[in-house]
Amino acid sequence: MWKPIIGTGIFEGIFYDLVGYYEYRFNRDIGREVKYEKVSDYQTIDPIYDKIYLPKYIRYLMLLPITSRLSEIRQLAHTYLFLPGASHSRLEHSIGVMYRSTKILKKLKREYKLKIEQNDELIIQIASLLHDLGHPAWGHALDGITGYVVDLLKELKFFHLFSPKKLDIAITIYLLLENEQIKRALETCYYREKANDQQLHTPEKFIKFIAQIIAEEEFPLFSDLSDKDILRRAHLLTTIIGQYEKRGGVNTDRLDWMIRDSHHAGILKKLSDEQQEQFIQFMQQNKNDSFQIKCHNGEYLDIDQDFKKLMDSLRKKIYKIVYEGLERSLIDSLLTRLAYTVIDIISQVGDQIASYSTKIKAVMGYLLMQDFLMKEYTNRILSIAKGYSHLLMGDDKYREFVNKSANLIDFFDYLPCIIDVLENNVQRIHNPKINMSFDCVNLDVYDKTILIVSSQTLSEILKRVLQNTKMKKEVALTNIYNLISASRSDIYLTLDIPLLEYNIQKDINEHIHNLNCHVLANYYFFRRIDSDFRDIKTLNDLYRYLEGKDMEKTPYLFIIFDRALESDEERNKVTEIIFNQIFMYFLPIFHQIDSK
Amino acid sequence: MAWNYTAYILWKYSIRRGENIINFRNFMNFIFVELGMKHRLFFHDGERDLCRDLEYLKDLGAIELVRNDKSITKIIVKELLGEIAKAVEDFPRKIKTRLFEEYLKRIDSAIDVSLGT
Repeated sequence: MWKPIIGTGIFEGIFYDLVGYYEYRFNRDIGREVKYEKVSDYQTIDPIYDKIYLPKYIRYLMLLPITSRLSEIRQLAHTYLFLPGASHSRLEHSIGVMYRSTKILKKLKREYKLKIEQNDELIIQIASLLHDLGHPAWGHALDGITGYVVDLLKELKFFHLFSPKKLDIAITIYLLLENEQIKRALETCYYREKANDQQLHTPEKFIKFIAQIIAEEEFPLFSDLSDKDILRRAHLLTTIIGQYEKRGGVNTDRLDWMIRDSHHAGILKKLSDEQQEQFIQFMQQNKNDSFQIKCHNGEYLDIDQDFKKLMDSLRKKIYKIVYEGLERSLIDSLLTRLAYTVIDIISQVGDQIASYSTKIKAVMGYLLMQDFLMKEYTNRILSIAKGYSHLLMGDDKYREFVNKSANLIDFFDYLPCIIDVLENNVQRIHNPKINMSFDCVNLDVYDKTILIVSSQTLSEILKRVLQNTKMKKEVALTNIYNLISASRSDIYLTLDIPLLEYNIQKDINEHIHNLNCHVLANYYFFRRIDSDFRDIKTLNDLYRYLEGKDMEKTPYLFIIFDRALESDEERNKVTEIIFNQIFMYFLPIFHQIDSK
Repeated sequence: MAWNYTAYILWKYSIRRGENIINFRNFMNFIFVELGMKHRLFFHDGERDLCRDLEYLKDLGAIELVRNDKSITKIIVKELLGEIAKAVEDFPRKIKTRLFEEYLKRIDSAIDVSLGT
């Protein structure tokens, strides 16, 4: 258990800093500071769409600290380290989504003669603006700790246990239902704009309706939204901003980010000539809304198949090359580890000194920070934890993990230089003793080595593990999928990275002098394989997938050494140790547990 | 996709009802009303997402699907589904998990409440 140190205030101080940050900045009622009647309609300039009209209620919501924080979060997180233009904010994107959704709604009314309620324009605009309200800093790097956060929220009685794919949505729903600032502001909009209608006759119902749209759930999240007509209305509006799996949607969220990210980051130049041509064609159609919208039963929207196909194929390419490529995988794997360690410390401290809801506020205080502040706090918390790790709950393995996370802050500072040379320095090394290959990046200038356990290497390890079991193939495949789905939810706990790192280090210490390792798990590896798993129906399909070109630059693990590996002998010993430890981790998963 | 959880839910549901031929509409109602609205656990965005999981389980050979035109009307549960469900049930005994266990607990509890213990 956590051992409280009365009087020192070592961790308590920073814990209540976080609570205070959330309470003061994001949870206070700003009704006295921002008067609704004094806010006016506004016209802003957008780099993609030119002039955008912002109605009074949107302008008012944008003035809230909880919403304006989106202007201080980069849409593409640390992508700017290798694509410097990628510095645009999440607020810019949210305004873009609002603009596109409004246009689509008007088009539906004008050209498709759909039944649109009087308040639907206001609702779709608010839902569009707020669809990323709960998006934490550091972009999708923190998706790898979604399960950890959802697990913390589950104790709140109202809370819906979403699948572990939606950290931003889980936090957005929490804020819409619990955060005083946004709730009061939405109530103000509701009353001032007379948004009450037959279906949404209370502000609570109005807010829940917005939450239902943002959550992209087809079935009602709240019992008072289960009426058929309300649901029909929710489905229509949801499929403007987003989509339902398999059913589809217009997805103005995606339409906007594809065009915006490409505009700022210059993603186009990363594609082949043929892909560039396709992309330009897609951008034109996208920007001009020159695609067909299909409507099923006046309830569900979708876009025409050709346009959708083109969009999906380009989206996959962008993900593969940029969003889940080697650079982003390394950066975000590092950030995931840092954030995971910090949230675990905050949570431990909260368990000892605060109520449950206060603990959640401290976690929210951390997650909702701006990009740069999150780094500052991560640094502060890990520095304290390093000095006082003996006070933390857990065994030696966990404490060593925390200490090493603190050491990684230095590596964070090296990142721009490392990213600069990463891609061109990857070498495949072969260990003849275990007959296994690894990718290796020697950063001689910085006196560091990064070993990469690629998807191909993992495939080989899995084959050898499965040769040692008698488990039925379909059951083995189920266990692999269990591992994928649990890792998507809580990657560090599922892969037991503290134990893996401890065991690798222990073996290294026995054979090699003065070499420290840091293990980073790559969440994107699991996200990709999960989204492609529908085509994997046998173990051979799985091996083919892992060994294929598509997964080449999305590794399973990165292992960072605090000095360069000097010789083949050293590299062989290290890779042998890593292979053995990963093998030992996987073996019990494929061991049949007796029914008795 | 959440086909591993879908397999677990379907197997438990089939055992508790004592039937290996399951009415799809009833099962869907269990997924979205009992498990979703009442126990606040959502694995699927909607009906089509659920059907995709069932198609996957069919391709694995764990179930058969009976259709009327294109719509699924009945699910025939096969032995393999039980083995897959057991792998899901045993998984938290092999690997540390947090939410995974919570999901299984909520599924069990929804089945107890809706179909009796």
